[in-house]
Order: sequence, then structure tokens, then C-alpha cells
Amino acid sequence: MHGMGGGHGGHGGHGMGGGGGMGFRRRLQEDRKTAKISEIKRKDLKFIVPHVMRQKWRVLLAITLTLSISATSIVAPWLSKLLVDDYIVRADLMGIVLVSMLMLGMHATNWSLHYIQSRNTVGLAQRVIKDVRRDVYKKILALSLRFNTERKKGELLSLVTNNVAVLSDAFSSGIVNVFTDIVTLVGVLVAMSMLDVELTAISLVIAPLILLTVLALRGRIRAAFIEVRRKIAMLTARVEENIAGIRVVKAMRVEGRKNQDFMDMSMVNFRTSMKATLLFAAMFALVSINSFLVFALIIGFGGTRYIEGSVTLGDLVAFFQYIIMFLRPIQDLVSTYNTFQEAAAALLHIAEYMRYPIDVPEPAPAERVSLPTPVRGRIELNDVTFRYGSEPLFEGLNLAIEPGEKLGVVGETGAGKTTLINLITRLYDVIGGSVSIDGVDVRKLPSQEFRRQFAVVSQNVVIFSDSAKNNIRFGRPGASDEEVVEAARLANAHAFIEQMPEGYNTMLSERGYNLSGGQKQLIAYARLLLARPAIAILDEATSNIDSYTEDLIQKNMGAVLKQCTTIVIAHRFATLHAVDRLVLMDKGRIADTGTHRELYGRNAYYRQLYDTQYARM
Amino acid sequence: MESGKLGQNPCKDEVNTEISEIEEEPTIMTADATPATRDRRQPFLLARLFPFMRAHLGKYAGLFVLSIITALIGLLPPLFMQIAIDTFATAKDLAGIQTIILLMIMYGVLGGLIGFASTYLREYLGQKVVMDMRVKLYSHVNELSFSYFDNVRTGEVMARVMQDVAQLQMYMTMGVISLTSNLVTLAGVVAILFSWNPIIGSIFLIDIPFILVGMRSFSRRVAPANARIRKANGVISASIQDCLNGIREVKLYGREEFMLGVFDKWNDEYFNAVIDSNKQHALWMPYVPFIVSASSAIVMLVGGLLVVSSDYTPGLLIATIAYFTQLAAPLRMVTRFLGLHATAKAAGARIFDILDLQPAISDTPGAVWLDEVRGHVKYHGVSFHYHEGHDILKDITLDIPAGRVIAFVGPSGVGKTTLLHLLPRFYDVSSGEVTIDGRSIKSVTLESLRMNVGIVMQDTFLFDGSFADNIAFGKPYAAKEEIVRAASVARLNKFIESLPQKYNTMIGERGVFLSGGQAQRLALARVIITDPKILILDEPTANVDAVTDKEIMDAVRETMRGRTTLVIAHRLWTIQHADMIVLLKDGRIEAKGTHQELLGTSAFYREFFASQIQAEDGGQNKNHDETARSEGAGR
Ligand SMILES: Nc1ncnc2c1ncn2[C@@H]1O[C@H](COP(=O)(O)OP(=O)(O)OP(=O)(O)O)[C@@H](O)[C@H]1O
Ligand SMILES: Nc1ncnc2c1ncn2[C@@H]1O[C@H](COP(=O)(O)OP(=O)(O)OP(=O)(O)O)[C@@H](O)[C@H]1O
Ligand SMILES: [Mg+2]
Ligand SMILES: [Mg+2]
Repeated sequence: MHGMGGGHGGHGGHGMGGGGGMGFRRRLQEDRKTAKISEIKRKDLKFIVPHVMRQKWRVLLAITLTLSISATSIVAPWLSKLLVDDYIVRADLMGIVLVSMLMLGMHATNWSLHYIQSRNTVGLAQRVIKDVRRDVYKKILALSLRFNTERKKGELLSLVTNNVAVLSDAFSSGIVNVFTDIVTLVGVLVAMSMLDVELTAISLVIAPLILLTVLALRGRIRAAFIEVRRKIAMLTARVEENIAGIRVVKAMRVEGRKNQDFMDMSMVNFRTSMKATLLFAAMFALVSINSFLVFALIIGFGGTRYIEGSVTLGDLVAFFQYIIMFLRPIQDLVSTYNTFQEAAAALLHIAEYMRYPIDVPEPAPAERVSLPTPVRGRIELNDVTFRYGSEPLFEGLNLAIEPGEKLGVVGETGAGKTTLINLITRLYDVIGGSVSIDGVDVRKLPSQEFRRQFAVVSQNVVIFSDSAKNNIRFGRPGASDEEVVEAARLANAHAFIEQMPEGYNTMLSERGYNLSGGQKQLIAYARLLLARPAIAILDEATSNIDSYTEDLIQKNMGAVLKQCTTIVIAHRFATLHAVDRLVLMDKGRIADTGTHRELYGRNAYYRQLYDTQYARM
Repeated sequence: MESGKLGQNPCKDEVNTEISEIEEEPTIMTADATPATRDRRQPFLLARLFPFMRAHLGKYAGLFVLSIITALIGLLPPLFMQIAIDTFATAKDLAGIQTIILLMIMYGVLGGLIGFASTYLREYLGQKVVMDMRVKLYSHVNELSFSYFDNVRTGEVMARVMQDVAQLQMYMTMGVISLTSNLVTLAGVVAILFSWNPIIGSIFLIDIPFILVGMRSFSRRVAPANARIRKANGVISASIQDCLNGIREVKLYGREEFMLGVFDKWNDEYFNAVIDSNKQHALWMPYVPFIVSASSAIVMLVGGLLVVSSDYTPGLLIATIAYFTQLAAPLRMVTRFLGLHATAKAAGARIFDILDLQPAISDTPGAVWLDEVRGHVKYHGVSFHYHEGHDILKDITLDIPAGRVIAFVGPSGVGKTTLLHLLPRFYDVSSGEVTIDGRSIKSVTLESLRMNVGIVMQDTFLFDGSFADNIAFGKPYAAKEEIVRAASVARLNKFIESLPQKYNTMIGERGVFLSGGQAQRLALARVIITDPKILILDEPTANVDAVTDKEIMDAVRETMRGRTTLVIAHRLWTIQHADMIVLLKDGRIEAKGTHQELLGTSAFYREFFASQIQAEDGGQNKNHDETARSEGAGR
């Protein structure tokens, strides 16, 4: 038993996608069903090899230690043979003391070797795993928003945590254990045949029996376990969603049904587990019966041979110890096998993600262009085509926004306003045409530099579970406390933050549940003001704010963002009174553009939109 | 034989027990909140677990007996060996040896069968108990009220329901049961060895304190490192979760590197903690085998001397050595159990912490079913605070006649949402009373109350699934027509029907494939279908354009005709048709009346809606030349 750090025996919510017509996800699922060690190709190892290579000295040390540990283990029974045959039987007291002391020393050596080995392998594995985990997370972060919205969050989380942990298990104990097992098996075999070939042969008759039992059941056991895991992952995903949405569950008083659902799923889960258990228990019983058989045979044949005088008592003593050493890895075969299959699945799973092409890529060094400074903030969409799924949304869309212009975007819900923002900020790449900032195609800009130009208040404000202060500071991590407070003041958020129990240090809860709807947006405003962008984008940023407060903010904003190119999406015309120009979107088209007066004069839909708001009874 | 393997059934609950556990409230960017110690004293873990085991007492007893038999059978092979060597081999009795072999095979088969039964039974009990416990915990969590969820993270609750329960399962099955069987094995070995030779027996006994002392110092030293591992794990998954939830913002602000930096810090801490923990593991884990081997070397020495000098037979010596070899496994299991006990205790404490929580809001004794609601809502001197000393609502008295549309307006954060959340009892008033048709809402059952009061919440939360699933969320067996009708009230049917899969289109996790307005309308349809007697709309159309908004509000008014509708909105046009508008300010009612009345009577109202009213004039003067940008330019 090699000491193993932390014992984070992790498997679990490999989130399984339910439905969702994403080809990639479906492929991944199948992969996990059929993943076999033999399927691992060179390319799958690409993400891990460099990290292992960096630890090559540790790898060498591990190999050396394994050999020494196996050697000391194998010598021990031989010593007992010596002891029995040469000294006890001959009543050589000195010899008995000597050999026993030798054995004691041997065990002590073995202990220290194990210590070094464990430190070494865990150090090796953890270093590799730490790097891999970082790489995986980094890759997920680098992948586009499209990727991130189409994938289940639970699945991504478990990719970084669970899958890597499974891999880490295989690494820190599995590989070394198996290597040790193999070396020991070979060594033991050699030692046994040196003791007595016939007895060895007899034990070997049974060993394949055990092996066969294990091999016969292994496929079904594996399938059963995969099923168990799938069920648990589904259960986990369900629970997670229900707890996150508990307020809706309670408001709609569906707790009862949710409980029933949970019970049903648990029941299915239970049955699946029991099916797997049945197989496992059966296999375990067969293996144990077989081991008894081996012992019986050894006692029988060994005893007979001892009576005949062709083996010594010492031989038998050593033999029994060897047999135990020999059977153990074979008995462990199933769990070893499982560990490795699982690790193989995890590895393939990770590899698949690591290979996944980044669909909003950084520009190649050769094409990289920097924005001309100072950034002026001219935005141009040129003949843009875009779709999320198969339905086309934008086709040949053109729009130019001048530096410093304040542009309002209005239109029916679902018209594509947010999508327009998604393209300008390059959360998604256009399918045809181009988006450019100050004349540079956004695809040629390094993302860090590009993003620095923007600050956005999204339609769904995101609140991180962190202090109010840090939530605002997200806009510019380097900002001082004073700057944070100043931004909050401008956004009209200062007053209510001050009133919270711990002021700026108050923890905001998940999704901002301890704030009012408007307050969340005010926080997001403060974030934007702190960022001091060249281009500011407000997507329904005041939808939950009263127009009185909105007025106050707008006055402050006007001063701060005077130079900024500003895009304001709003349904409430009061929000749009300060814009220079309006764009009316309709079903993915720019239906019209112009000042309020122009649009009002010539566009019937605009007129309707406007009048509805101000029609009087 | 190697009973150590018993514990390794990979069938055990497959929930990762360590990673993704959230213990403290880690913060995402700084993540340095000091950990609160949650390990309360839980002296009688087993006593608390007992109720869950009671239903299966018979099976537990059976399992107990089976494990003891298994343990006893495990004791046999060395005994047989001894007999074979000393009796039959010395006497050269081949038949005797054959008998021994037959006996062994028999016992082997018997042992295998019993082992099968006990493994199965053990897993059965473990899975069953864990399932019962999980269901109980989950339904209990569902009973807890909003205020509980305001202060925990989803991940934290998840960890309780999934991982902690799994910990207890390990404890109750592998732990308690294999502890018994391993203790039986140990005791059996001691007894046999003593009966053979007291000196050798005592060598074995001397081992025990060594092992105990070693294990104690191991667990003492490894505990802090393990706590660090746990914490780092919790923070890592919490920060990943937070980052993935806010991925849009992370990308928009280009904060990927920053997020990675937070992660790195804890990834390093995790690494260091694992290495520290491994220092102890590496030293102490091979310690037990070492003690056993070392003492078997001593047994060799002493036994060897005894064989030479007394009537101690070689067979006895060999069998003794065999026992020693066999001992490593049970000893390891026992020591592992000690570790398991500590983890289980902590996990149990966290679970029972939740189970012991009384829901802040539940049916009062004698609560009756609320039926035949007309919808006359009344607030009597209602005050409310989330935190002691911070009153949000102050002495609100409000009479809402049945069947009307009442609008609530007021500055952000004034307490509109809070006020209306008191009606379905998401929170209870701090003082005062809320009544429906003259009945206090505390005198009726929660279920019936919430059945009659439908609410569209300000924060839209959608579930993964199809449009149909989401609309029928509160009414699972709704007919297709009902779903379509609800969708059309929310003006969503046209859009849904334009999609290739129509109502079966998946909306993505939390509705990510929808636009803001679509999500909001879906949430509205979800409530409309339940046909509530009193409908609360908390800014239901904030993300919807005016034309659609008007259509929706007309349709809602149509469906809710004769029933009470309470609507919060910031847009004048959404509410101006309301029968009464209630204007809140500083936690009190500033004014109420129709739009026209308020325009006349309340200066704050005029000021409050100034921009919208002013713009409205602009709208009315549309034919005049100066409109257009003038509204804005003027400011
Ligand atoms: N991630 C996505 N995957 C698939 N379809 C999407 C996605 N996001 C938006 N859509 C679809 O694209 C269309 C345009 O959505 P968009 O969010 O741009 O609308 P919008 O004009 O911002 O509407 P609203 O005013 O309601 O916010 C909608 O029909 C929507 O369902
Ligand atoms: N769960 C909570 N825990 C603690 N404080 C809260 C909680 N919910 C709201 N608050 C605080 O109570 C006050 C009233 O909030 P509420 O949500 O009722 O405002 P509101 O009038 O609905 O505002 P808005 O128009 O912005 O939605 C706010 O200051 C808010 O910060
Ligand atoms: Mg939008
Ligand atoms: Mg509100």
C-alpha cells in the first residue's frame, strides 16, 4: 500500500448531457462509454507528456525504487526458508538470531524505501496534475462563449476537478502500483520456480482460473459501473439545478413533486448500483474461492511432497508467503482495471477538450495588429452574417458607429440587439463579413488589448459571490478603494452599499439574492464606470431601475463617458433621450436608422413602439 | 483471505468525496475569508444514525452474523496448515492430508458464498440507508425557507446532499461492519496464538500499542493538512463555478487571466497541502506493515528458539507466521476506520446541522386550507427587516380590494419586491399582519397559500429542458392547449411556433439560448398556466419592448379579469392603467391613487416619473417640429 496524498479518490459527476443536439457533446458521451486504454492514441497524450517529461528524474527514481522495493519484498520469504531449513531444523541458535536480525533490517529498509517512493511518486503526480488542471481550466476559459453556453456547467466543472482527480489517482498510485505488481509477479514466479517447479506449476493452474473469472466479468462490471456513474451524475445535475432555482420551486410549490422525482431517481440509482454490486460480489466470491483452492492445493501437494521428502519445510513456508504475494495483484485486478479504465476515460475526455478548436481564436502572430492609439472607438459592421444554430439571424448586416457617437438600439424582443453586442465585443465571431474597430478587423486584435477598450453592462447582470467592493473592482482589478467608492458614487450605488451591514465588505450572495433588482444593475454600472472604457455598452442596463434614479446616473455618466462611443439598448425611450442616433432592429435586420425625428416620421413600427409608451388613456 | 479487499468495492457511492466540496464561504477574488469552524460536537453519531438504520435492523443483524462467520472462516487456512504439517505430514498420513484438502475446499466454497451474501447485503444496506438519508435531507432542504438560501451557496448545499451523505455511507457499511469482522479476526488470532504459545501471543499483543500510537500521531498530524486540502478543494470548485456562471462578464472584461490567477493561488495551496499530507502518509502508511513484519521477524526468532528448545512444533511456527502475514489487512482496515470515523463525524455534523434546522416558515398548528379566495389583500401595520436594525418596510397599512390591478412603484431598493414577497410568505413580517379575505396568511397552509398566489419573480430562473417543460413546470400534467394558451398570453407562442421543434425546443441550461425578453415571457407563461387567484408580477416585462409589453399586459388583464393582480414596474406605460398605484418611499407608502390622481396630488410622483412624463409630452407633440432629440438635448 503506497501512501497516497490526500486520498482524493475522486470520480463522480461527469456531467452527462441530456438531450441538446450538440454533436460534440454526443460524441464525447459515446467516447466515455467505449473508452479503453487501448484507444488512447499519441495525440491524446499530447497535453500531458510535456508535464511528465519535466519530471523525468522523478520518473527514473520511481523506476529504481520500484525495483528495489520488489527486490526486498521478494527476498524476505527466502530468508524465512533459510531460517527454517538451515538454522531452526539444525538448531543453530546464532544463525536464527542472525537471520532474524537480517529480516528486521530488511523490513526497515523496505519501510524507508516506501517512504521515499511515496514522497517521490506523489510529488511527481501532483506536479503533473497541478499543471494539467491549470491547462484544462485555461483552455475552458479560452474557449468561446458559444462553447461555454452549450456545455453544461457541471460538466465543465467536473472536467477540471473530477476528471483531473481520477487521472491523478491513476498517476499517483495506479501506475507505480501496477509496475510494482508486475515486477513482483515476475520476481515471485522466478523465486517460486527456484523453490519448486512443480508446486509453482500447480499454483499457476489456478491463477489463470482467477484471471479468467475476472476477465469474464470485467466487461459487465465495467458497464454496470459506467451506468452507476451516469445515474449519479444525472442526480447531481438535477439536485444542483433545483437548489439553484429553489425560489421558483417554492413559489410554484412543486417541492412535493421534486421530492418524488428525487426519490424516483435515487431508486433507479439504487437499483443500478445493486446490479453492479451483484456482479462485483459474485466476482469477489469466485476469486476468494479460487484463492482457497490454491491454498488447498499447495497444502495438499506440498504436504505430500514434504512427506516424500522432496521439499523442505522452509520451502513450504516461503511458498505460502510467495503465494500471498502472487495472488494479491491478481485479486486486485478488477479494481486496478477499473482505476485504469476510468483514468483512460478521463484522459480521453480531457484530451478531447484540449484538442477542441478555439472558435474565437487569438490572431496568429503574423496577422496581429495593434489598435492605433489613441483608440477612437469607431465601430463598423460590414456585410455581417451570423447564426447561433441553423436558423440564420443576421444576413448582410451593415452598421457604422462613429467615434464618440451615442447610439441607441431599439427593437422587438428577440430582434437580435444583444446578438449585435455579442458580435461587436467578439463574444462570437461572425460567420461572414467583418467587424472592425478603428478600421482594424477584430479578429486581428489580441484579445486582452481588445477587451480593454470595452465595458459592458449585460442584460443579465452577473454578481459574483464576493464582497460588494470586489464585485465593482471586477471592472478594473487594479483600482484603489477610493476609486471603487467614487465609481459607486457616480453609479448611485454608494448610498445603498453604505447601508448594508458591512458596507463595501458585505458579501453579495450567489446571483445577488441579497440585492434588489435595480441594485444589481447599479453595481454593474459602477463596474463599467470604474473600467474607463473607450466603448461603453449598456444592454437594458436600466430595465430594473426607476427612471428617477436612471436620470441621476445618466447625468453622471454623461460627464464620464463623454468621449466614449456608447451603445445603449433599451425598451424605454426615456433611457434613450440622450442618444445621437437610433437603430431600429427587426428580426435580425436593421430596419431603419436615424434620429428619433426621422424614424418617427417615416417608420410605422417605430411610431407604434413609441406611441405605445406614451399613449394616454 | 485478504479481507482488505472487501472495503474496495468500487460500487460504493460514486460521489467524489473530496473535490468540489465547499466548506467555508470562499470568495472568488480574494478567497481569504477566515474559515468558520463548523465541526460542532457530535458525540453520538451512531445514535443519530440509528433512526436510519432501524428499518433494516434484521438485515443488519444478518450482516453482522455473516461478517463474523466470514471472519472465522478466514482464520482457518493457517490452522489447516498447522494440522497438515504437524499431524499428517509428521505421521506421513496421506489420507489425512487429503481430508484436509477436501475440508479446505469445502470451507473455501462456503466462505465464498457467505462472502458473496455479506458483500451484497452490506452494499444493499449501505445504498439503501444512504438513499433514505439523502431523500430525507433533500426534502428537508426543500422545506427550508428563503432566508436560509440567502446565506448559503448552491455548491455548499450540494456538497451536503451528495458528498457528505456518501461519507456516512462508507462509515456505516465499510466502517462499522468490517470493523466488527476485523476485530473478530484480530481477537481470533490472538486467542489461537495464545493457546498455542503465550510468549508468541504476547509478541502479537505488544504490536497493538505500537500500532495505536503510530496511528494516533498519524491522524493528529495529517488532520491539518487534510483540512487544508478540503478547503482548497472547496475554494477551487467554488471559484470555477462562480467563473463559469459569470463567464460572459469574464470574457467581456477580459478577465480570464485574472480568474486563472485566483485559481492558481488555490491550485498551489492544494498542491502544497497534498504534499504535506503525503509526508505523513508516506511515513505512517507503511508503518503498520512494518510493525507486523518486524514482529514476525521477532516471532521467527523466538519461535525458532522455541522449536529448537521446546515442544513448539515447526507447523505451529509456520501457521503463526501465516497469521502474521494475514494480519496486515485487518489492522490496516481498523486504522483506516479510525480515519473514517473522524471524517464521518465531521460529515455527520454538517448533515445534522441542516436536519436540525427548523424551517423559518412553516404551517402554524391548526392551519387550514385556503380556498375560495376572492383576492382581498390587506397589510396591517406591516414592518419588515432582513437584518435586525435595518427596517426595510415601516408600518405599512394597505387595503387592496379584490379583483383589481394594483401597481407598486418607487425607487430601486425601496422594498417593493420585499413587500410583495411577504404575501406568499417567502419571508414573515417582523410585525403586523397580512390577510387575504380577512384571514391571516399565517392561519392557512403554505401549500394552499402559494397555490392561490402566483408570482413572476424579478430574477428570471429557468430550468434546463424544453419550452413545454418550463411552461408546465407548476402544472406537470397540463394539456397541450393549456401550454399554448399560457404561451400566447405571454406572447411567446408565435416565436416558439417559428422554431423547427416548436414546444420541444430545448432552451439550454438556465435558458441560455433565449433572449432576455424571451426568458422573461417564458417565466410569465409558467405562472399564468397555474391559474392563480392572486397574481404578483415583479417587473414582468422589464426586458420586453413596449408593443409586446402592451399586448402582454392586455392579455394578462384579460385572463386575470375579476382577480387581483399586483404589479411592480418602473415604466409608466405598464402601470398607468392600474386601478391603483402605490408609491413607496423610504419604506413607507408615500402616496396612492390612480395615475391621474397622483399626478395631481403627489409632487414626488411627478418628480419620480418626470423623465417619462416629459418624454410623454414629447410623444404627444410628435407633430410639432422640435420633438425628436429635444427631450434629450434639453437635459
Ligand atoms: N446562445 C444562443 N443560442 C441560440 N439562440 C440564441 C442564443 N442567444 C440568442 N438566441 C436567439 O437569437 C435571437 C436574438 O436574440 P437576442 O438576444 O439578440 O435578442 P434581443 O434583441 O436582445 O432580445 P431582447 O430584447 O429580448 O433581449 C432570439 O430569437 C434568440 O432566441
Ligand atoms: N434577501 C435579502 N437579504 C438582505 N437584504 C435584502 C434581501 N433582499 C433585498 N434586500 C435589501 O432590501 C432592500 C429592498 O429590496 P427590494 O428587492 O425589496 O427592493 P425593490 O423595491 O424591489 O427594488 P428594485 O426596484 O430595484 O427591484 C434593498 O436595500 C435590498 O438591498
Ligand atoms: Mg437582449
Ligand atoms: Mg425588486
